[in-house]
Amino acid sequence: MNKHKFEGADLLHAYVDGELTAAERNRVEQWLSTHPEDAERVASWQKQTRGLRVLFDHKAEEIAPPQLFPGEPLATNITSSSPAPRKTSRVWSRLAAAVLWLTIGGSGGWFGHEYISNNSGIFQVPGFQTARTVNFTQPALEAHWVYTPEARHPVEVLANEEAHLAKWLSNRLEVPLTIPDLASAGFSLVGGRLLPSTNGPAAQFMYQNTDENRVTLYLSRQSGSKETAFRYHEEGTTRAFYWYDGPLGYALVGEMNRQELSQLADLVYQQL
Amino acid sequence: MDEFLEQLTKAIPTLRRYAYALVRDSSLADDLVQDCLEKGLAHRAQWRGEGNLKTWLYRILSNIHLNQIRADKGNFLKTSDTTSEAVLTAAEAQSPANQIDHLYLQDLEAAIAQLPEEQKQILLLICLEGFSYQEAAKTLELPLGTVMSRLSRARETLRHKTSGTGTDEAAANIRRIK
Repeated sequence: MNKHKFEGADLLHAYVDGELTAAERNRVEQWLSTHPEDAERVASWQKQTRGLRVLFDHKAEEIAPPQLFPGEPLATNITSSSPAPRKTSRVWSRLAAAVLWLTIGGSGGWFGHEYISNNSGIFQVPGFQTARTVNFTQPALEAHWVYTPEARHPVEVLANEEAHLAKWLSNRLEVPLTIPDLASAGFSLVGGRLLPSTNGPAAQFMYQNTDENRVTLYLSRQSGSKETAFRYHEEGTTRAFYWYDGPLGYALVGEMNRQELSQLADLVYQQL
Repeated sequence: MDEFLEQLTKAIPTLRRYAYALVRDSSLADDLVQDCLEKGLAHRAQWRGEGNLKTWLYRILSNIHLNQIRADKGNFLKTSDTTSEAVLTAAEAQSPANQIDHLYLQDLEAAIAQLPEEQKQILLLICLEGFSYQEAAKTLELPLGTVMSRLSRARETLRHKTSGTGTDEAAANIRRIK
């Protein structure tokens, strides 16, 4: 296990920190059983470790401010920025502005690229369609980032009230919604919530697998949308497939490889 | 997907925990993490995929922290925020069978706050972040012996400063060991 040989008190520390081989561990335990003072020290150190976790572990489970997550475009932007000033709010508003600007710029460019390739080089002004699509993946990603790390309140309505959830969100979005079943891919419904969007009410359904990997399906009304094929977008480690079908735009968002996410998107699409 | 960014993003939650435990102030902690990430991104060429990115980021954060402490020695004497009652109560409720009581946590937190920063970093890397001794030594670029002696000093200081509240637990553990 560890080539280092511990001696004396170091041996006791190494015992507490799991740095010993099984044989060494046995030896220490025998020693402790006949040396109450050392046993007390060891117990006290172990309690310190537990105390530290109780005091500070919650911080790792907290939702980190999204501005801390550097997407690819932001990353290149940061390198050229000046050393960080000490005021939190200033750093973050600057970064938030950079993220916003770059994602809009980035996806605009990306959509533009797709538009041109789809139209075999015939140049047309994309018009409202591009503007509309730009506004659609970002809220889906943001809602995903905000709610999936939640341990206690990931959704407004839990899966045990699935029928109510479907009815409620159908009413609010004014479209009959079915909640896709992803059990065959190992994902079960956690629940869902109502969200605000620039196009009125939007909905988010959340699923998770046994590894507690979560995916969200975001739906919002899209006026005048046509049915489209899946489109793909990624930002940081988050990937999304989105498409239009009838009055709604859909985005399936998750942290998994593109292949897996695409299979889930197929599964969702088949059930709509 | 960019491997570097992926690993960097994954490290954020635990970096925030480490930073918060070092400074015990949420916005100072996030400033630290922010500085660390910016520095990491700016110097990503130095990483070159060698070794563990996590260790590298912890090293950056630890160094920024030490430099800041040294830079404003004078005004750092103000005590940082103590953990709020709400957090302590929630923490207490979650701890198994209430083995760790409120008073102990308060004493422990106060004692950690008073540790020399070098000892605090070692203690937190090993006990909170779960680093092995080797990893801690590598992260802070110290010999293993120094890591051990700082860890030992930190633990003994904490033990003495919390001794009023630790006896029952210690006795219970002795029985368990037997």
